[in-house]
Formats: sequence, C-alpha cells, structure tokens
Amino acid sequence: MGKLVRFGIGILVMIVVMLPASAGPAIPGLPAYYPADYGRIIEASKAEGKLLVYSIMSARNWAPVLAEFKKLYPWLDVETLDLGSYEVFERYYAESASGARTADMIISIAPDAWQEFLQKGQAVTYESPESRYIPSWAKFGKEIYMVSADPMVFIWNKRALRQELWPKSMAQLAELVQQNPQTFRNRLTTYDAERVATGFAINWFWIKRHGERGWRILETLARAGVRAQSSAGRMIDSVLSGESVVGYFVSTISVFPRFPAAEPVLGWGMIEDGTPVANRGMAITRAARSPNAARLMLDFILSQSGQVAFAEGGLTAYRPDVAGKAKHHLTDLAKTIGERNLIIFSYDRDLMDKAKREAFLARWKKTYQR
Amino acid sequence: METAVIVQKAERAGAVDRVLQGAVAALTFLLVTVPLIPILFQSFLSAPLYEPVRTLTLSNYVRLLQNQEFRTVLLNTLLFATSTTALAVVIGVILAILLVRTDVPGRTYLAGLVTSPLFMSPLVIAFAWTVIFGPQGYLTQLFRSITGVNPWNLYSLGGMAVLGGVYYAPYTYLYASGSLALSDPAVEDAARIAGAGPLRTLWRVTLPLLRPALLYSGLLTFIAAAEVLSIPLVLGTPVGIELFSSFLYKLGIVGGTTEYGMIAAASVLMLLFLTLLIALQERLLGGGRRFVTVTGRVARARLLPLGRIRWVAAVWCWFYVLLAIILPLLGIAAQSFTAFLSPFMNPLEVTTLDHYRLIFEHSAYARSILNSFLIAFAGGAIGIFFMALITLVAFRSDFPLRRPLIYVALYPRAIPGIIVGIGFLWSFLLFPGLGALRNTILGLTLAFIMRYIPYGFGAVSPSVFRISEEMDRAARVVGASWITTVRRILLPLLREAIFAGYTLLFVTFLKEYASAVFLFARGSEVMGTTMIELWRQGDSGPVSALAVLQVVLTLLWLGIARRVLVGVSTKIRFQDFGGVT
Repeated sequence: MGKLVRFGIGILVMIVVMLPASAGPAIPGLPAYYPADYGRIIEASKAEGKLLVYSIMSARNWAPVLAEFKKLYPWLDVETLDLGSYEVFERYYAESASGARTADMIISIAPDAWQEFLQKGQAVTYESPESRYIPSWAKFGKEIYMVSADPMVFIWNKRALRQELWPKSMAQLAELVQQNPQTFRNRLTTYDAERVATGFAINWFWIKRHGERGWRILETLARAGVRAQSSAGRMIDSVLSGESVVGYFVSTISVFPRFPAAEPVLGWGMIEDGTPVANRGMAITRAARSPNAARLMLDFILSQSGQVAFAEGGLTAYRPDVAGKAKHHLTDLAKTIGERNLIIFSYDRDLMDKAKREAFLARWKKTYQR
Repeated sequence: METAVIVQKAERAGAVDRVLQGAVAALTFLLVTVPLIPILFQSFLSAPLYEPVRTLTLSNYVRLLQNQEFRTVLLNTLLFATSTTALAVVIGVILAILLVRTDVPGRTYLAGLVTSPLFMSPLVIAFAWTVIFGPQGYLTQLFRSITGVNPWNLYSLGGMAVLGGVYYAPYTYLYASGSLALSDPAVEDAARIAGAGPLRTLWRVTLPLLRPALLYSGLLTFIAAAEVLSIPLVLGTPVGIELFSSFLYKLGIVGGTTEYGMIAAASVLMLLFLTLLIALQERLLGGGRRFVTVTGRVARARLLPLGRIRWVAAVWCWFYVLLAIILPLLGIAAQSFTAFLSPFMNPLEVTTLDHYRLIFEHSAYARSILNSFLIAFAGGAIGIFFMALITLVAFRSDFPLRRPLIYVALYPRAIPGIIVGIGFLWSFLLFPGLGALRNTILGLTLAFIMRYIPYGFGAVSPSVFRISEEMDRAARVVGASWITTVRRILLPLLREAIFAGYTLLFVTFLKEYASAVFLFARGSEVMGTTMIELWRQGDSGPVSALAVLQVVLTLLWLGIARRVLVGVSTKIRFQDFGGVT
C-alpha cells in the first residue's frame, strides 16, 4: 500500500516537474524566455555535483556571483582557481592531455591565447538562451562569451596632486607632464606590456586606435619616467603611497573594490581619448566533466542577476538591460566620454602573428627604454 | 666461545626483519628517485611527456644553452647566491661571536630573535620586507619624505641579496655558535697571556677555529640561495629579474607556452651542479672533524669582556634585529589590519578585519590553512616515524644496503623545492598507478616528506649514536628480533629526539610552498600557494593576513612543543639539517 502511494506521489511529482517544462516558460528562478528543455540541463547537472572554473579573478570578485548561483543551484559546488591569463590555458592543456580532472570552464583575457584555444578545438560550441540579450561584440564565434567589459582607467592621488593636474585624456596628461616636470618625474605607473597579457592587449588596441600619434604620447610619458607594474593592485598601492601620482590603463576590477575606503586619497576617471575595455571571455571546455553545470554558469553570468552580481564583485557589467541596475555598468561609465571613445578589445587576427607581436613589443620596450 | 656464536646467530636478521628493512629502504629509494626519472626522461624528449607523439632528442639542452635569458638567469643566480652567502656568513659570524663569546647585554633575547627567521617561511619574510623596505614601504617613504630621494631599491639584485643574507644568517650563526660553545677557552687564554688584545685574539685564534663551521654553513647557504623561489618571486619578478627557481616558475606556470623540455633540461643541469656542491660539502665535513677533536673538554667558555664597546655592540645587534625582523613583522601585521597603507591617511582610520574575513569566508583560502595544518600535523607524524626507521636501518641494522641508504636519504638536499614539485607532478602524469595522487594533499605530503627526509634523519641520528649498541645486543641475546628491538628498546629511547624532529617537521611542512606550486590544485592548496595566488592578484591585504596567521600558528605550535619538551635535554637542532627554503 505504502509503496503504491509513494509510487503515485512520485508520478505526480514527475508530472508537476515536467508540466511547466513542456508548457514552455517558468522554470523557477529563471526568466520565461529560457527554452522548454532547459530543465534537462538542470537535471543533468545534479549528477555532476561540482563545477571547476579556471579564471583570472579573485575570490573577492567571485563572491557575490557564487552566492547567487548557489541559491539557484544549491546542489552544485563551484570551485574557482585564480591563475594568470595564460596559465589558465596551460594548466588545462597539461591536465586534459593526461586525462586528469581539469577546468569545466575557462575565463581569461589574453586574446591570442583564446584564438589558440579555438584553433585547438578545445572550446565547446554553445548557444546560450541569453545570447540575444547581449551585444554582438560580446560573443566570439559560437564558443566564447564575454563575462564583463572592464575599462582600463586613470587613477591619481588626490592629496599629492592639485585638482587641475588630475588627468582627463592621454593627450592632456602628456601636456601636463611636460608643463610640470617636477611633479611627475618618475611618478607615473602603468601595466608592464612585456610581462602581463592584459598590459600587452591594452597597449596593442590603444595604439591600433591612435597609431603614430599614440606612440608620441606614450613616448612623452615614458620620458618622464614610468614605473611598469605587473598588477593593478601594485599600481594602486603605488599611487596611494604617493610613490606615483598618476596611473594610466589601470584595471577597474582592482580599482572599484578599493572604494569607499580609499576615497579620501584615490581618484579615478575614464580616459577621454580612448579607454581600453578588456573583454573577459569565457568558454566551456572540451574536457569538461561537468559540461551541464558549466552551461548553467555561463548562462547565469550572462543573465541579468549574474551581471548585477559580478558588478557587485567589482567587474563592469555590459548587458544593456541592466544599465542603471548594476553597480558598475559600461553604458553608465561611457556617458562621460561617449561610446565611441571606448576601445573594446577584439579578436584581432594580427595578434596571432608572432612577428607582428614581437615587433610591437620591441617598439613598446624601446619607447619605455626597457 | 659459545656465547659469541649465539650472539652472532641472534644478530642475524630474521626474514620478517629483512622484509621491513627492505621495505623501508625500497620506499626511500622510490620516494627519491621516482620524481627524478620523469625529469631526466623529459629532458631528452621533443614534446611534453604526456603527448603521444614525441622523439628522443638533445635539442632541449642545445636550446637551453643558446637561450640568452637562461644565461642571464644563471649569472644572476650565481651573483645572488655568492653575495647572499658572503653577507649571511659575515652577519652570522659577527652575531655568533658577540652573542656567544662576549658579554653583550640582552644576549639570550637576541639569540632567540636572531634565529627566528628559520621558523618562518621566506615568503612571509619577503612580503614583510616589501612592507617596510619596498618602493612604497614605511621606511622608504619616511626616508624619501625627509631627504627627497629614493634611498634604496629593494627590487634589485642587491636588495634581494640583502634579504637573502638576513634570512640565511641563522645558519652561520647556529654553526658558528655551536662551534664557539664547544671550543676550548684555554686556547684564547693562551693568546691573551702571550700579549694579544681581544680583537687580535678574535682575529687570529677564534675566527680560524671557526673556519670549518663557516665553510660548511657557507656552502649550505649557497645551495639554499641558489634554489630559493620566494625572494626572486616577490622582489625580482616585478622588475624582471629572474633567478633559477623563479625562471622555472615562469616557464612552467606563467609563460605563454609550457616549455616542458627546457624546464627539464634546466632542472637536470641544476641537479648536477647541486650534487657536486653537496659532495664538496660532504668532504668538507669530513675534514671538519679534525678541528672538532681539538676540543674534547666541554668547559664553560669564559665570556670576553668588551668593556664599553659592549654597549655599542648591543645597540648594533638590537638595531639589526629591529630592522631585519621586528619592524617587517610589525609592518605586515599592520597591513593585515588596514584597508590600505598610505602616508596621506592615518592608518587607524582605515582599520579593518576585511582581509581576515576574506580568508575565512572564501572556502579555498580557509581550506588552505586546514590543508597546511593537516599536512603538518599528520604528514609530519608519518614523516618523522618513517625517517626514524630509515635512521635505524641505516645505523642499527645489518641490512646489506645500509650505506647506500644513507646517501639516498640525504640526497634530497641537492633537489630544489620547485624541482621536487615538478618531479612529483610529472611522475603522477607518467606512471599509470600514481595518477590518483595527482591534485591531492596526499601527493603533496609525499613530496614534502621526500624533500625533508634529511631533516628527520639529521634530527634523529645524533641521538641514535648516543644509545650504546650494547642495548640492542642485550635484546638480541635474549632472543628479540630486530623489529622487537626497534619497537621495545630503540624507539622508546629515541622518543625525545623523535618528538623534537616532529616539531621541526611540523613547522617546516606548515611553511613549505616551493614544492607545492606545481602540485596544488583546487582542494589541495596550502597556505604558501594561496599567498602566492593572492600576491599575484596584487592583493597585499589578504596576503599579509595569511602570513600573520602562519606565523601565529607556528608560534603556537612551538609554544606547545616547548611545554611538552620541558625538562628534556633534546633541543630542536637546526645544525644537522640540509638546505632550507
């Protein structure tokens, strides 16, 4: 008798679970436009249990996203490993080739490494239900989606620098530096393009926009003495301490979390003549052991709540329909300088050309006398 | 006549004894050689060892030796190791003479402080130094605000060598002070009677007697400095100066393409070089005993009165300890409790517990503390038990291969930590049965145990020598097997030495990071790898919080150990151990 009752209840539950799915919308917690069979991905993820992500973001950035994700899919344990832009790929290659447990999803900036990843056929094709809610530049091929669009901005020390010396554009900063050699001597800081993938990409795309004029501006700054750093955190520390007074091309992902604590000392602003915007790509890997969990994460990151959560963690959301809702949003940030002054990284074919890369780096090193 | 036969018969090992002895020796041999095989193999392979298509080649070596960067790295490493050694020996010997042979006020406190870096990870010390002496450091800023110029550059080969000198000075200090404490004061008295002043006595009598101790500790420092990862990683990489270990780290972890062949070839060359140095050290130690025999008597050496100079000496010592150790540690503690450090703001206005909260709230960071503790607590216990057995097989059995066993057990001194990590990682990839150990804390524990066999060996063996062999013999005569003798006689007598060794292994495992950087994954992270992970993000706050937690855990453990060891003659001896990084 009891068995029969339980069987009956089981059938009922199954019908209740299946009904909305077959009817179309309304999987609890998810937007109505998700496809009917999305429930199958969710079901399949239950057997996977664990999701491993190799990313270049810190625990601080991830925290709000993981908290929200856990509410939606409480059975999934998400582990994130914070590595370098290239390291995420290298580690994946070594592990997948030897059949070890490796990342189900990779998040990184390095555009050249992404192209290699695609060429090796390691990224899995996936059509996200969120696809039509994101701009076209936020998707590359059928595999890579953007997590966020993080501007590379100016920072400065408010106490060490009079207000009229706060930088607005690179061209204006170059003039300020020439007019006030004493103030700026050896007190500029930026990314090291030689050692940091992000630093390379920033310079590459900024020069792509400005050409020779851009090189001349960089040369002027370099002559004043620029400290090239390997992380944005160190640039901010340098400016906070007064060792440097201005940092340029500093990643907002490190700048935003410093506020409001650093407010009295630290200033920041978009670069009027071109703010590089890093497109942080993500893809599901061929060797994923939890491909369904990875799909859920990818869709969540692209979703409204995912974008808002990552913005909470210091990243910059770009999905148009969360503008004004997310703590940091590209559209809001672009208002002061205009959309056309955003230099969003692309998957430039030239980046794959070793000779061109090396020539560019050689010129960069010459410019900065390194 | 009869008894002699019985004794001989009894001393011959039984089958069970042989099996255990053989197992201990075989395990030691496997632990040390298995990680080295894939490195040697890979160094002759054209592609990564996991790739299906690969051929044997010498090109890795050719490419490596033609690589301009590698040559620069070798030169830098040589320069760094040489200047570090010179500085460490000078600092160490001055401190040893002042604190052991003269009447400098506050000697006992100073002695404790001077050796304290040994208990801390060089990673922690390096971070701490950047807080004080780095380009944005407290003292650097203070100096700059007064004089208007940048006083020094910590992020340079010179800066790294100074830090290395301070970090490794305790080796020389310990060896020299050990030797000084043993030396016969009559020799110095003779010099004084012959009319030599105190300085002349020091120069002509005391120092020459220290020569073997200085040579030995100098070589130890050189080897340690040649393989250290933390100092070049923290101070060198931001400005593009690479030393051997950070170069391997860059090639293997950070670089755009993983150069397995080059990594392996560089490792093999480094292993050869260090093996030569270790052999040299072995010879020197042999020669060193000649000097030690001069001093049979242990008379309490009379302290050399320095007169008024003693206050100058005291100020110098305290100044050194304050600048090199106390201030950096206070600085890193301050950083861990503030949102950021800036001369433009009162640090008290930005105090926060956020960095600690981040560590404890993020599961991976919190887990790294737990993992480090587990490996130190359980891995250390297993490790010291195993190492005590090695010592007993080596010195208290008739196992035919006991001599070679000693060499194998001591060989890890020649293997840099980062190579231990690479070797274990690759052997997990190469040997089918070992794949399951990959990315587990068991795999890490094995690597840590292998790396520090010489520590346990060194901690236990002096006490083994002190137990008269008549004890074993008596047991064997009444019919006990070797195993029973070990279990009932030797191990109980070695209790204190084993506990002291355990304390040492605990502290060492807790701070170990170099062999873990290639081996850890999500789930098997340790404190050292988490610090590096956070540091690479440029997140100095949480790094300092973790560093502070590591120091506190170590101090707590040492406090407990000291309480347990009260009244026990065995002290934790660092003199007997190989390279520490």
